[in-house]
Amino acid sequence: MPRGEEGPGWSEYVLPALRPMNAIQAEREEGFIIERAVGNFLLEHAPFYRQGDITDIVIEEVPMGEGFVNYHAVVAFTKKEGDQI
Amino acid sequence: MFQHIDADILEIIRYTVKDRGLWRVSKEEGFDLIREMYEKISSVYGFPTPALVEDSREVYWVTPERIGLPKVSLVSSLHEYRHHMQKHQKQHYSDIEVDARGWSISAFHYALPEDFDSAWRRGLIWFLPQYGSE
Repeated sequence: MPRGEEGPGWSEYVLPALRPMNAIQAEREEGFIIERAVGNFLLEHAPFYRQGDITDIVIEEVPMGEGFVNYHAVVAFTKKEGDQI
Repeated sequence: MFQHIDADILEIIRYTVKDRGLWRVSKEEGFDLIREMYEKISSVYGFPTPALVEDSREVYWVTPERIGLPKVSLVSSLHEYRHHMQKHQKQHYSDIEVDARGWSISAFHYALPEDFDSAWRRGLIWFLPQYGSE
């Protein structure tokens, strides 16, 4: 899986996909993109960080042409002690 | 921490929390208040207002300008909104997460200093800035 950049408390993953053709596909694809981003994060950072340590995800679509799109997912994380105010 | 946040933004945050009771209302009402806050902040900056939906995690989808939140959280809602500002060229630090953490925490600190102090002491802020004395 292509690896993006990283910084303090975040890692970026580049997730290639087919461009959704309709709203139903888009909704399904979005859920799948989140799962893939979280899966990549866990592959890299578990067991020190867990799924519950993810604080937010920023996802940007980069069209690649010919029906393909790269989703750039920035996954931010920290050791959470509880919910945020 | 940011040195300056627009006074209009701080007033919108104070109004949302204190006058409208963001931390006292139901989840559904809280989401409506955050939508209202987003509309007001967006009108200050002249941005389109991002959509807000309930989601299983905090997320910002850049292209459709959609924010997802799992619960009512002032700091998380401001953090995700800052990503929306970044899309519209409002970004101070080159690292988008450093920028979003700094802006959201600073906005909370300047708008509601007493609540910030209390939240900071109780560990209710995920990314704690260097703040206060021992």
